[in-house]
Amino acid sequence: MRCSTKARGGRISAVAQFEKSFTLQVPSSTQNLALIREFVSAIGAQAGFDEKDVMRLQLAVDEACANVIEHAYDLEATHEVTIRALIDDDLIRFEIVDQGKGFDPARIEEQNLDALIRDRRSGGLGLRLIRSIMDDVQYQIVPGEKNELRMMKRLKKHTA
Amino acid sequence: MEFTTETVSGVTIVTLLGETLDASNAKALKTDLVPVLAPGAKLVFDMKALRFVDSSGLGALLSCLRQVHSSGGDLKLCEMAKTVRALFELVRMHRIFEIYSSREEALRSYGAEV
Repeated sequence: MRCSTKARGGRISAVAQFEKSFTLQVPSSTQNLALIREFVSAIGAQAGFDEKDVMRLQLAVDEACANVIEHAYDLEATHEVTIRALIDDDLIRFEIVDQGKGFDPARIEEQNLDALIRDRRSGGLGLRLIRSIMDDVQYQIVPGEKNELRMMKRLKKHTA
Repeated sequence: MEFTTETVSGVTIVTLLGETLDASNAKALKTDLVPVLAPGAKLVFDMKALRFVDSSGLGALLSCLRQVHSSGGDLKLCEMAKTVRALFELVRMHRIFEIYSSREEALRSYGAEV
């Protein structure tokens, strides 16, 4: 990853620049989850992940998008879900963006796995899955404006 | 998702024919399976066609398991692809379901002659 610095309002901030970026924008219907997984599969393979990890990436992004469609948009297919994929030489990052209802990640973190399985309507099981698959997960929730889930996974280096 | 059913020595084998069980079809499958989940039913779900399951799909399967358990029946899974098995292990669902590598093994676990 290359980093450059940018002056903004008198402050210097580091801006990450990824080598490749891809964007998929689809209507907020669960019927599009298969298309989203195809997108993730192609990009995960291009980034160098093996079959098992590509499946896990598919699952993480599927869960994130299903949560958006079911909980942020209440299954209304008239909205949009944006999936950005950013590849660098040793990692992949996905950013899932929606303009639906936000949620409180802290509430989900408190539940244990058994409770999440029992009460899977909360979407918490999906988030737990995402956390167990990805190396870093961050949320940016601006109520009434946008929700953004950023999740990153490092490529395991194979040594001879 | 479409499925077929057949009965062998009192055990109902449900063969799931779709490759994916996710938020787009899990709820419908759960509804479609209601007639199969009769009180006391001995069930085996053959999952060899399935290549991807997400938490919605897991939820549907778990719901079926709870329903049959509550009426004195049982539900076992077989012929699971490696990727699907890995997902079950990720959320520790392999401890909740009895999973067999073949249909015959699942049938034998019920004492059925195969």
